[in-house]
Amino acid sequence: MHPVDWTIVALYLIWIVWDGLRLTKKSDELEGYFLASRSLPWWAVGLSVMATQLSAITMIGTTGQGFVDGMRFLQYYYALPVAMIVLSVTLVPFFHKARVYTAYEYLERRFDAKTRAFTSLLFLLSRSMSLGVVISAPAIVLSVVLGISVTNTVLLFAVPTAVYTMFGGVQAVTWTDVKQMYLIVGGLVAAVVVLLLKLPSEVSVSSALHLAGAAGRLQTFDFTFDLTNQYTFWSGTIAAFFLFCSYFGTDQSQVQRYLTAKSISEARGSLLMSAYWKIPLQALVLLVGVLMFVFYLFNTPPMLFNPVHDTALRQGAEAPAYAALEQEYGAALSARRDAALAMARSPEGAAGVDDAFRASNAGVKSVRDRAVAFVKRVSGDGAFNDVNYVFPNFILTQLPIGLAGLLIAAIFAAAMSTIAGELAALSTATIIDFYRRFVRPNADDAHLVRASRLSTGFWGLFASVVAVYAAELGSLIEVVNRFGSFFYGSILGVFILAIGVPIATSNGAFIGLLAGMASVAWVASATKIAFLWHNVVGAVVVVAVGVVVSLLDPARRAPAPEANR
Amino acid sequence: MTDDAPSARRSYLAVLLVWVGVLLSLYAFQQHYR
Repeated sequence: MHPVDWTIVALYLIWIVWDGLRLTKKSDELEGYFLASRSLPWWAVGLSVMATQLSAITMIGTTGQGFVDGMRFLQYYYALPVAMIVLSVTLVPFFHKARVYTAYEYLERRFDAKTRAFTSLLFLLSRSMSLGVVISAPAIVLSVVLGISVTNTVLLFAVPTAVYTMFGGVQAVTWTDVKQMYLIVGGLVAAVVVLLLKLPSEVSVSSALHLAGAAGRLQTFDFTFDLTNQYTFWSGTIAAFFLFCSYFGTDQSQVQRYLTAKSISEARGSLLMSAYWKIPLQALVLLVGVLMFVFYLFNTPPMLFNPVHDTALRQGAEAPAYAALEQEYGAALSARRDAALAMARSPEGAAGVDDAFRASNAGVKSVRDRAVAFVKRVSGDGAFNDVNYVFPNFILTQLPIGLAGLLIAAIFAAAMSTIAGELAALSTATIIDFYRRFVRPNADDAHLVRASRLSTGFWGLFASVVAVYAAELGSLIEVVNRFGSFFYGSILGVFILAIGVPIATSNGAFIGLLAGMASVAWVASATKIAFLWHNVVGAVVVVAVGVVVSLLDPARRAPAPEANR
Repeated sequence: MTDDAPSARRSYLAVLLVWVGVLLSLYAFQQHYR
């Protein structure tokens, strides 16, 4: 990367730490540190929530997915607006009125300490591991394209983030998230503009979209009902509805955010911001990938986007076979470029040009598939996949100096906003649900804030170690979502019992939770049902088992706690 | 933003209307450019 671009990244890192610490107030009080004294406006909370979800994996994994697979992934988010409305009506008022620090704290008031401790522990386990993936996945890619070690890349993300999160608490997290969100969206819009400007003069924007559409890159609806396929309209509306209710409604990294809002209506406003903007934002990210596909119709892409594998094959014993494949690839690209230009120049609906373009695109794909199989055979890495290198490679090889630095800074911003939100949530759950609950119930604020800072630092270190030692993890997006899906549906089931089922008892909730998790583990290992549907299985089993056990539970005759009302 | 229920209901209705509009637009987009 050019020194000017490195300077931009360095300036961003310094500025974001300084800005995070500058805007922090009352972080020496527990409510100030964890909940920003419940004082934040809805728009800042809403942007922060979106920034936490938009990780570096989104920036590099989802753009790569747009490049190879098009917009299909957008279906995953179709249920989100409805889930936001349901949560605004149900869980948000409950949490706000309960004046809790964590979502799990409410479960003790409704059920008992073991249900709270168990759900909070599940959150800590799953989230700390997935945070390792959230750090390691982009770190592996960026270490290759920036030419620095994975450890140094992890440190570049994690140390500045840990510093402002440790000292500034959730206020620093929120206000830096707002700025990072501006940087991320600005970077993505700039990438779209550059990609459109780089279209050949005879290819209009409309022609470019027709080319993308002809190659299947603009398919946003797949009405096939197939439980083994996660990117269909049905999994995106039914199964993802459960995932979003669980993620936004019971995951501490999200709940903590709307607890920082001034009032219930401001908290609702922050969720409704996601309802309006999440689908367009994901569409923007995927569109970058789709436009990169169009860009590489007219510009020669590398056969492999991971430069390390490319160099190794060129210098290895199989170099002649690789060169022959590359020659074949060049011929296929050339045929596709001609077919694409012919289609762009023809009037819409002209006979044959679409089919010729599709056939030439299939030819390119066939050679590239063989190249990937070649890498797998030669390197012995059966999980090789270079999709996540497409966008970083494009940034560093095709964008002008300065803009490349800005985009790399935007990827850093996406990583850091996610890490900061998760660190704050991990620290809050550790201190509130365990340290203050079981170890030092009478500790004063100053002591708890000190402990929280140490806890934030610990989780930062833990996630960084996981990140550095994480092995190749396959498709980045799915790995992270898979981690979550083992727990999400079941935890949602517990909250449905808590708030929606007055007869539910603590034993019912606890046994239901264990049954739900066992069911998800069984479904995940014994069937090919797509992971989004695991959320439905978990939630339904927890509620069903919870209701049955509660009906049989002698403790049901005891009056329910006040927080249930 | 206010706490009153009619205002909240109007917000939810607006979200639902925009949601339906976005999905229909995306479908029309897909059909036009396929």
